[in-house]
Amino acid sequence: MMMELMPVWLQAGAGNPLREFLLENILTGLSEAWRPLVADLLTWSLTCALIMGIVQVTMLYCTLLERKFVGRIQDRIGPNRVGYWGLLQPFADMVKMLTKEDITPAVAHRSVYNLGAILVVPPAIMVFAILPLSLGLVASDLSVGFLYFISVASVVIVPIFMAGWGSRNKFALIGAMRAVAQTVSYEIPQVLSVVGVLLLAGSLSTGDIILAQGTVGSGAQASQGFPGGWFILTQPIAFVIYLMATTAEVERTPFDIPEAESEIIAGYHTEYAGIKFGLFQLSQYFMTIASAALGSVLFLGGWMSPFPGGLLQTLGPLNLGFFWMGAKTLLLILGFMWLRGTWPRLRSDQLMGFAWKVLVPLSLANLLITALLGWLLHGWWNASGAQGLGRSAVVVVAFLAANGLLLFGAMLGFGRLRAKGGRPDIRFEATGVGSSVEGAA
Amino acid sequence: MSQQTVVQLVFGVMAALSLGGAMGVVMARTVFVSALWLILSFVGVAGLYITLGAGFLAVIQVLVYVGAISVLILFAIMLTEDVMGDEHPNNGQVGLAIILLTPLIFLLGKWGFTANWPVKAAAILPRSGLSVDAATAAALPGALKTGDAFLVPDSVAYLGRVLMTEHFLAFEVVSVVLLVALVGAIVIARD
Amino acid sequence: MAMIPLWWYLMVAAGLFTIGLYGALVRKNAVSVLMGIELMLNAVNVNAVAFWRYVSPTAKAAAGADRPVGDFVVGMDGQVFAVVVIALAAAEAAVGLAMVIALYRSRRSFNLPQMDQLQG
Repeated sequence: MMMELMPVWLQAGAGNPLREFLLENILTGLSEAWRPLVADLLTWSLTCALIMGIVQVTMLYCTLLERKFVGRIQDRIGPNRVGYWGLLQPFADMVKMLTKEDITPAVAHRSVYNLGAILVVPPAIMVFAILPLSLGLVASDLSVGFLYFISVASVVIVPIFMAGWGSRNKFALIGAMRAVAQTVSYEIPQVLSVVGVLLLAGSLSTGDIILAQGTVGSGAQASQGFPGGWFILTQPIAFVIYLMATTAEVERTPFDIPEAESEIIAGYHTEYAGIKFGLFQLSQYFMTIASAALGSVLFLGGWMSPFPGGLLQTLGPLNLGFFWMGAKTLLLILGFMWLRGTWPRLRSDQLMGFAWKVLVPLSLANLLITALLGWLLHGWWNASGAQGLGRSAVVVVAFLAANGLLLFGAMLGFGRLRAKGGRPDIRFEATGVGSSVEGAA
Repeated sequence: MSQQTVVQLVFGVMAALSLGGAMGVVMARTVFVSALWLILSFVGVAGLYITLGAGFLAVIQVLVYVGAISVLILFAIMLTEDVMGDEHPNNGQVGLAIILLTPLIFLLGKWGFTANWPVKAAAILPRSGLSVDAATAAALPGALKTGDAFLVPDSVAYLGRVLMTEHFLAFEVVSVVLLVALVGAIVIARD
Repeated sequence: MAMIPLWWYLMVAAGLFTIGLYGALVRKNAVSVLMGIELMLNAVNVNAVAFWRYVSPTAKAAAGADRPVGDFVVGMDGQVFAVVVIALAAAEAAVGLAMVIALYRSRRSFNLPQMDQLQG
C-alpha cells in the first residue's frame, strides 16, 4: 500500500509524530489530565497554522502570478517595479489596501454592511480543513469531506447577499442577486459531476478519494479498489463540467457577471473600499485556490506522483506529495487565469441557460453511465483474475468509450434542439435579473 | 475543567446561537434582517447535531438550510419587498399568541424534563471492534452483511444503506415530492 | 455516561418550536411566517436526532420481537426522519416562495392580512 511507502510527517490525532514529540519532550510538566488535551490542541493548531501559512503565501503570489500571466497573454509585462521581477508587489498592494480610508456609506445599513465584508472570509478559510496538502498533512480528514467543502463554500453567498443589501446601492443589489442566482445554479452541476467520482471511490472523504486513484498499474491499489487510476481518465466529462461550474462558483471570467464592471460598476462590492474591498478579493482568491485544490484531489490524484509505480513519490526521507499537490493545483489555477485572459464575459441569460439546459442534463447523463458501467464492471475488477496494467487499461478504455458516446450524443441532441427551437428563450425583466427568478425558484 | 465541561460549553454556545437566532427572527423589524438571524439559528442547530454525533446531518443542515433555503428566502425578499423595513411587522395577535404559547412552553418543558425517557445508560454506542453476526445480517437484508465491521452510527455509508433498504419507501416518496415541488415551483413562479 | 443530559436538547427544541410558532402566529409578512415554520421544523429535527442518539439504541436492542437485533446495531430511524424532514422543508420553501413571488406579482404586497379575497 501507498501508506507504507511514505513516511508520515504530520497527521492529526493519535500516532502523530509531532504529538508524540510534544508529549515526551515539551509537555512533561503538566498533569496527566491535561497533557493529551494540550498535546492535541497544540498539534492541531500547528497543523492548521502550517496549512494556513502555505495557503496565504500561495494566495499572495497568486495575485502577482495572475497579473503577470494575464499581462503576458495581453502582450504586456505586468508589474515589475516593486522588488525584483515585481516580487514585492503583493505586499505593496496589501499596504495600499490597509492604509486606504475606511468608509461606510451614510445610507448603508451599518452592521449588515460591515458584517458582510467580515463574514465573507471565514468560510473561504474553513474549506481548507479537508484539503490534504500532502499525505497526512490535512487539518481534518472528515468522513463527509466533500459534502463539508460544498456546504461551507455555499455559505459564502450569504455575506455576499449582506453586502449587496447592506450597501443600499442598486448596482450592489443587482450584483448580489446575480451572484446568488449564478452560485445556486452552478452548485448543482458541480455536485452532480462529482457524484460519479464519489460512486467510483466509494467514499466522501478526500483522503479515501485520493487513495482510490492509486497510480495505474502500479499494484499499489488494494485488490478491492477501483483500478482506473486518476479519475480524469475515467471521468473526463465530469472533470470539464467541474471546471466550468467551479469557474462560475468563484465568479471568475468568463462567468464574472456579478461584478461585470461594464454593466454594474463592481457588483456587490461597489460600495466597499480599502481593506473591506480587500477582504472580498481575499475570499475570492481563497475560494479559487481551494476549488483548484479540490479539483486536483478529485480528478488528478491529489498528492500522488503522476508516474507509474509511485516513482518520485519520495526523495530520500522527503515525501514529495506536497510538491505534486502544489503542481497540480497550480496547473488548474493557471487554467483559470488562462480562461480569464482569453474569454469574453457571458450574458446573464446565457449563463443561467447554460447551467440548467446544458450542464445539469449532461452531468445527470454522466452520472447514469458511470453508475451503469460501475455496476456492470465492479464485479470484474474486484475479481482476482485480471490484474495490473491490463485490468486498468480495460476499465479506462470502457469509461472513455462511454464518455465519448455521451459527448457525441450530447452534441447531436443539443444541436438538434438548437436547430429546432433556435436560441434558448429566457425573458428579461426590467431589473435585468428576471431570468434568475425561474432558475432559483 | 474536564472533557465533559468542554462538551457542555460547546452545547451551551450552540443552544444560545440557535435560540438567540430564533429570537432575532421574531423580533427583527426588517424581513431581511430576520432572515439573517434565521441563518444564525440554523448554524446553531447544525452545531447541536455535531454534539449529538450526527456529523452528516450537520453538514446537510448547513448545505440545505443555510446554502439553499435561507438563500431562497433572501432572494424572495429582495425580489419583492422594498429594502426599507416595516414599522409594524406584526398583526394584532401578539397578546393572544403570548397567552397561548406561555403554557405551551411550560408544558413542553415540564414534559421533557420529568418524563421517564428510556435513555440507554450511556447512549454511548460501541465504536469499533465488533462485527455483525449472521442473524443480524439476515434481519436486515442488504443493509449489513455477515462479517461486516461494526458501522459507527455517524457513518455515511451506513445511513445510505439504511435509506436504500429499510427506509426505501420514504426515500422514494421524498424524491417524488421533490420533483413535484420543483415542477410546481417553476409553474407557479412563471405567471 | 452521557455528557449532556437528554432534557437539555428537549428544552432547546421546545424553545425553538415555541419561538417559531410565535413567529408564524404574529407576523403579517408571508415570508416571515415561512421562517417561523422553518424554525418549528428545525425544532422537530433536533428532537428526532436527540432521541435517535439517546433512546433509539435501547429500543432496538430491547425489541427483538420481529428481529433479533444485537446490542450493537443501531437503528438510524431518527437520522432518517431528520433527512426526510430537511428534504421536505426544501420542497416546502421552494413552493412557498414561488407562491409568494406569484402573489406579489398580482398584489404588489405579501402581507397576509391583505390576502382575503376568499373571505365571505
